[in-house]
Amino acid sequence: MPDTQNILLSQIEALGRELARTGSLLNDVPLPFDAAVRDRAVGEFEKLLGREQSELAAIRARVMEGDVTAESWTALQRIAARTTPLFAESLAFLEGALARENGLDDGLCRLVDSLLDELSTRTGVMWERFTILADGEFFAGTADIIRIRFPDTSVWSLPVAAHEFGHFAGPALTSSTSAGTVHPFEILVQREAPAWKAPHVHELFADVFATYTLGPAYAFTCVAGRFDPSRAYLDAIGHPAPAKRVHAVLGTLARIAQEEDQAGGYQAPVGELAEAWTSLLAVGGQAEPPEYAGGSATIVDLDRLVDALYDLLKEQLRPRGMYGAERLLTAQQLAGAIGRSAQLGDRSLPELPDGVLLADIVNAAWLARWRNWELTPELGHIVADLCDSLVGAPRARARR
Amino acid sequence: MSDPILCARIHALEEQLTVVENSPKWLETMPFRTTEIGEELHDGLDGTFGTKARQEKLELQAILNELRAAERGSADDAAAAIRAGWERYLRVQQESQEIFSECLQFLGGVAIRNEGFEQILDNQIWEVADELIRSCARESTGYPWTSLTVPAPEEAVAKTLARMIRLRFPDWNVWTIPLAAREYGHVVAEDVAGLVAFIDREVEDLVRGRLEEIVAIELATHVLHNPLSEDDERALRATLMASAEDAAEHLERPPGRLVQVQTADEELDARVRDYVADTASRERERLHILVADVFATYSMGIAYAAPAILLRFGPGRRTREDVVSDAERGEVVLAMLDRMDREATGSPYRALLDRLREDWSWVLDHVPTTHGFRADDGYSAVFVDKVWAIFDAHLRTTARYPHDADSEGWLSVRKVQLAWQASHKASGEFTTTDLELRKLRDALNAAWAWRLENPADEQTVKRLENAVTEICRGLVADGRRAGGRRRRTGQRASGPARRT
Repeated sequence: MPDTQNILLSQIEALGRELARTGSLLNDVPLPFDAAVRDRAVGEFEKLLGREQSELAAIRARVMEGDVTAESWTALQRIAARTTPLFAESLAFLEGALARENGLDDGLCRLVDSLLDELSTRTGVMWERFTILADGEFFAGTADIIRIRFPDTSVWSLPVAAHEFGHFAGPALTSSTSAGTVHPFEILVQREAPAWKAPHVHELFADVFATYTLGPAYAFTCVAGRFDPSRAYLDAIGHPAPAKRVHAVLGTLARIAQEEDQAGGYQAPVGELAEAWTSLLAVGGQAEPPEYAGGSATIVDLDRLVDALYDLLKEQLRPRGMYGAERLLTAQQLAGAIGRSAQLGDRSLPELPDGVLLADIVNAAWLARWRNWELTPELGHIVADLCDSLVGAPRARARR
Repeated sequence: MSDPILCARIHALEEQLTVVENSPKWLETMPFRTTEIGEELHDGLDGTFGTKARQEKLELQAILNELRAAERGSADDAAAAIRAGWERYLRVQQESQEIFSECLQFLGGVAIRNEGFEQILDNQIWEVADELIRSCARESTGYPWTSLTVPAPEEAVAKTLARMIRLRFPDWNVWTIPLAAREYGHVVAEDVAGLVAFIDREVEDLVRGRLEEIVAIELATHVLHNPLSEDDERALRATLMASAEDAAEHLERPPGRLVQVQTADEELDARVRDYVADTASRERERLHILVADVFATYSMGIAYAAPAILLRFGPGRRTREDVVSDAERGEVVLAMLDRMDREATGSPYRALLDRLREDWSWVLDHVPTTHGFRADDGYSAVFVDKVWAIFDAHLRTTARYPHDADSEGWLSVRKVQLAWQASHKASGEFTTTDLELRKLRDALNAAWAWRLENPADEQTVKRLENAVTEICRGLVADGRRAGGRRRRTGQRASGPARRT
């Protein structure tokens, strides 16, 4: 009889050590935040690690009593399968946090934190977490941490953080009913299930959220900086086709423009962005089809979904959560001043008006850039400095 | 006519590539304990990430130049240049994403190493792993290895750009360090010409053997929705077979898995071609993993086979979806150890091999395993024989774990065993002095051999672990001193010396 008990115990003990070590590392990583913020993030990991440790201890006890059956092996494999992504997530957290600590983010994470704090306050969706660097932007549910993409640490990508915040915000929305607390976004996802895949609804919600809360800056980032026109009509497993997303973003801007108390400041950006996207499609040889390829959803379905998502936000978020025409006017005025500074080329900073938000600076930056692409580098420097001055501390730019 | 959005995207990507190009400078802010490693690493990074980033930037510059040149031509020329520019930009962007991802993983890993975590990690374990890989490289290919071992979420499936060696997070101790040799196996699989050609041939053979099946599957799905007459079906089968053969003729040879495209909405012919490419890509990945496993066993002996089978492989666990099962990996590892035993005089590994095989067989027979992946047809032994011949011809003679050398290898392991038995019997401890060990792989083999032959409680295993860790640290310190002497006297480490 082979010593399978020993093999099984070796694997259980090794996994137990790994779980314990991961917990210790997460607790020891230096994070530049107050204890409460840190505990909220690390606490989520600890909860998951603790749950696996308990299950592992139960298997160990069984094996020690001589239960070396297929069930024990299968139970161990189930835990090992669950811990693989947990370890990966923990490592990404450690690396991302240390990369930030070592300045690899060029200070962008701090700006994103401030922008998200601002959005959190305006919308009423409490976040109280932080951002770290990763190899792509995404929102990881394990510890509710938002990742920003290395090495794209320029201010032009700041609006993408609002999209990732949307992934957190959707499930966080709650309503009180006579039956108790309900999650209206989850209900919406279930209601749309026959026509729309859940991950696609999540993505479109995050797009609508980012546009609703950040205005044209998010739309500019998508059209000018991110979406691939050569795959405009191709759905991916986790993401709807870029054409659908652009339609949702522009549709959201159009809805804001239609609000009774919103003046027509939105009309120009919406028209220009739509025209730019059409040009990109033409260059990529992608004529706009009557229906969206890659799924059964049509424009009518999409408009209905976007309307539902928009209505949900309007109902659930604080009124100032919407990036309305008044804010856009502030951004447009600032855009003029930033553009003039960039043309002078002396890195002088325009004076920031009272009550200006990071969201205004980011919108002003994109509006100014959209008017004069040649000034992109100068605008980037000025906008970064303006953001720094608003947030309160200069970024370390020694390496740029 | 210019495309401001394309130009803006190109400039943004250029800027990001510059960040990566300058990544060696980050090392200056992360001081290493040993300056020599820092310098070598700086050069190594510049030669890998830096070079690749510069190449991509040159391509971006070329796109911009062509856009500018086209502006002087007709509107049609300009439009064509813009269209071509987008295609090229998107390709560079995709390639760059891989560089960015690896660069962050590398720098993040270095940050973890440098952070210390003094109370939690034995930080010298990194240096032990570095030295193990350095000697593995020296003794197998003879190529210098100037990268680092870094923590990673999973094992590699291909050689990384910076040749970094991944240690699976958070599994770092002397029992699992030998598994790092497998990671170097990916470098060997891609850098040793004989292995590259072998993998190409195997992939082609395996894919060609499946062409009829691929066509039959796609055709059956098609006919289900589009009924055809017998003649039309026969004609379509012939056309698809020709496409499949053409696709097999022009297979891409990327080191890792191809990014799979969604083919649901594509035409039948495209689906068949994608299926062939996907099959080839999967087989290539599987072979890379198996070659890396057999290389690690070849160079580390029991020290790799034991942790792989006892601690790492789980019979039902699949690696990267269903490309290769741990059951198959276990079989090739045991087959390689078996071949090493048969090639040696006196069957040095037989007892331990039988022990491992018996344990592994029991596990495979009693635990749910990945169906269809056990090589009952003896493929593992044939595979190992083929790879053995290539190792024999293309690697240095020192690559194989020595079984009969006087001052190193299995005989030195046996001497350590005797010393440990005596000290353990006398005091319950494992002596670390006067063992005459010269190589890390010998210390690690001694540890695993003792553990396999003397099943012990957790405390005893821990005492053994501490002793071996101390021995390994000593060997790393000795190696560093010797390296310093070599540098001062201008001597070079021995270069490639292959069998003829």
